[in-house]
Amino acid sequence: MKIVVLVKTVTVPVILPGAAPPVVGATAAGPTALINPLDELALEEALRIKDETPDSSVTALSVGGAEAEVGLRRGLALGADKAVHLVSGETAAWDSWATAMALAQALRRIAFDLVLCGGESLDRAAGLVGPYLATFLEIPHVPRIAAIEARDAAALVVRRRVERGDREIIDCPLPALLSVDKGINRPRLPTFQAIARARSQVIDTLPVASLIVPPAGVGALENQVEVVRLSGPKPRRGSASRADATRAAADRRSLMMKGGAPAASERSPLLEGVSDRVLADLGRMLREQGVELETGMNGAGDATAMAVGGRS
Amino acid sequence: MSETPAKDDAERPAALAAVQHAGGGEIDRLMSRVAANLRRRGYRVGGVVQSNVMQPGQCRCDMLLEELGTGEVHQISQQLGPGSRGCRLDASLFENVVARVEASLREPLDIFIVNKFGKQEAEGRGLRQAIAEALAAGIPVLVGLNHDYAAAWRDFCGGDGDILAPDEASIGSWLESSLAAAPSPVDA
Repeated sequence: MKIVVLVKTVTVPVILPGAAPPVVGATAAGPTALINPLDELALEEALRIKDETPDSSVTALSVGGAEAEVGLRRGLALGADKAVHLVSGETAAWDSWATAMALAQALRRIAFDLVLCGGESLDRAAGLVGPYLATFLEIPHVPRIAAIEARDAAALVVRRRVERGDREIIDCPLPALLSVDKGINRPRLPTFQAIARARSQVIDTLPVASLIVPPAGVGALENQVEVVRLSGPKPRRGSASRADATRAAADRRSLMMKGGAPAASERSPLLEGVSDRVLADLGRMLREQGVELETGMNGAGDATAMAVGGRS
Repeated sequence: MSETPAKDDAERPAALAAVQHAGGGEIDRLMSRVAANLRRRGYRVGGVVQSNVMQPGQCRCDMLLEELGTGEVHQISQQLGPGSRGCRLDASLFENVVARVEASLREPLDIFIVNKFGKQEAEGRGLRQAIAEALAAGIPVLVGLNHDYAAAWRDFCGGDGDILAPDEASIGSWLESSLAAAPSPVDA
């Protein structure tokens, strides 16, 4: 299987000490550049396939300026067979659309069965390059991959995260693009010998200028997104639970130890049975609480007790 | 003064040793003395050594890192309060120092000393990359290794490197053989 892993070099945002309000910026020695953490997980997944299928190959592909080498050399140190640098000095200004368009043009020159990437980058976190790229290449895209469960030459079975902690099992034909989610694996760590070897390995370069792209319109290397404004998150309101102050200290402590859940004897009763009986029980309980009731009919013709007053 | 080898020399075996210790502040003081001696002899020393300093009115000591190349001292801990048990390392401050140390490797060095291969390094962060970069550049590297992380160290080294006892005689002997391979410093 020929696997291409998209690798982005990101810089670590550092809160500069002493700045008020805190300023996110580079260190005095320059920004710490590293491989995008989710891309490293994608690379690990590719390397695991390669470990189990020795005739597989893993190519790390990155677009950017000189900084892209950091991620690519990390990929080589971890075990990628080859690194391809799509050279452009202007990617800092590119949005996800233009980045994906450039990658799509490069991937038309590289044979692949599977493209893997991180679900989003540490710096921009847009999460759009994967879906755009799959669209441009006209291949299936499965996001939020939690596991690659099985594979053969023509298809993969993958598990992806969906809402409420559920998982979806998807039979995905190849070629395809998978965006991996955090927690999919624990990436291996390179030895220093591997890091040293990677320093001297040749990285194939492909100038963006050599790509055949339309000069304007759909398909052009032009940004489609305008960032209007960036703002920090709003402060959250504190949500600490408080025990009822009218209770004794021992009761409050007991409640807190139970996580705030009332004892079984304190829980609200569950009314069971046919509706007339339930209504009668409810009416009795409400009257015991001092609530004045009127009797009426609901839309289904059943007698319904309606609370019309508060506690007396 | 020796020149930092070019990238083409990356494949040559680099001198690497770990001074294994059981924790505590003695390794910090030992490595500081070793670094100071080397600097006095005219060697260009890079890396960091840690020292823990108790400040008046605080219940836990400050963790400080001294940049050996410049002598600058950086605080990397935060005060979490008297009842705290969590890690006091301020990752943001530590990353600042890591970036400076990695940048210092662009300058010619005779030896690179890091007195700490700990939890951060064992998990692939911290100064791990800087150690690897120094070795890749052919610079002899001396590391303080808490024995709790000996297994992670072995994985990192792939079987290479020496393990030294935490005493000046062992370290001195290793330094003599490692630095002898490089030209003598002009200002020694």
